[in-house]
Amino acid sequence: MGYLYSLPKWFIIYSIGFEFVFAFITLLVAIYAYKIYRISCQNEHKLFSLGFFSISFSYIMWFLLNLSALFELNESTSALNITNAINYINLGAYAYMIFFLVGLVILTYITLKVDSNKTLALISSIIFLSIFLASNKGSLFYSFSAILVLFLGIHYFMEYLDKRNPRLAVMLAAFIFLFLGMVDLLLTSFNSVYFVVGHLFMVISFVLILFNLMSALKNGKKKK
Amino acid sequence: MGKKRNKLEIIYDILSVIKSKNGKIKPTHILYKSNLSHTMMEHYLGDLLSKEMIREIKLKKGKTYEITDKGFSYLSKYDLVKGFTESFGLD
Repeated sequence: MGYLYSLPKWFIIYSIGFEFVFAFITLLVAIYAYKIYRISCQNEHKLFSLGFFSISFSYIMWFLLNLSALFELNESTSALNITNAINYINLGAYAYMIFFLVGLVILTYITLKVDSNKTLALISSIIFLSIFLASNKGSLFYSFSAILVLFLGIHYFMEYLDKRNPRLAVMLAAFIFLFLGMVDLLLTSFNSVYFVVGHLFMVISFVLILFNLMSALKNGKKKK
Repeated sequence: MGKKRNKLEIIYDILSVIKSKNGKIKPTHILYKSNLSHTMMEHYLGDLLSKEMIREIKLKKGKTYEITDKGFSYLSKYDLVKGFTESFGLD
């Protein structure tokens, strides 16, 4: 499997906390997107909700399994328990990677503005098959994630140039920080401090997304 | 020339037109009021029917379209939908 990440010991508790926050924020976005879908019946809203649900689930998996791994490894005294803990961690790592990428692929698909299951299937196949066959799955996962996040950032940049909506600039900033976060996580194999920096970038990213959501909902209610 | 309407705006305009005629309207009236071509109007009416925002009522001569509760809900919460859509670049 290779490295998924390397982190400083002192940061484990904070990391678990951050993952919970990321899961919560993305879940909020997913829930509101679904509520909007119920009103509008537009496919884009449904897919947006699905994308964020998947990303949220990936962070929930990462959070739960890091928590249980921390507990298991601290409490374990036998080799068998340690082996079980490591198996859980691997399972959690795979679940995190799969659901995170599924979420990003769905969000990217929305931006393509094509109504084609073939396109979605093609993108998904290329990404998941590549990771499945790779020896260093962690690096390839972060590389693909960074590419998809960058693509989304470029989408928001183009949308902002076209519409000049300040909230699109917020989303652009969010995806720039998320891209920087992904790149830092890719570099954790060189130095675990990148894990801390990556998480800080991701915190900024998800706070911006949360701000955008709150702002959109507040303005939507005010205009009534 | 006015800005080109997006899908959400067109749906809002069509439903508003139906609502303004006491919730029931003939297709020709939609055509005049919604500023759409006949082909586009048929496309959107089909879309609204499939989403159950309107229902078709067949008469002896022709048909009318009636707005449903779902359609009313869309109209009342349109600003919220529009705000969310624009904020996340989904239009």
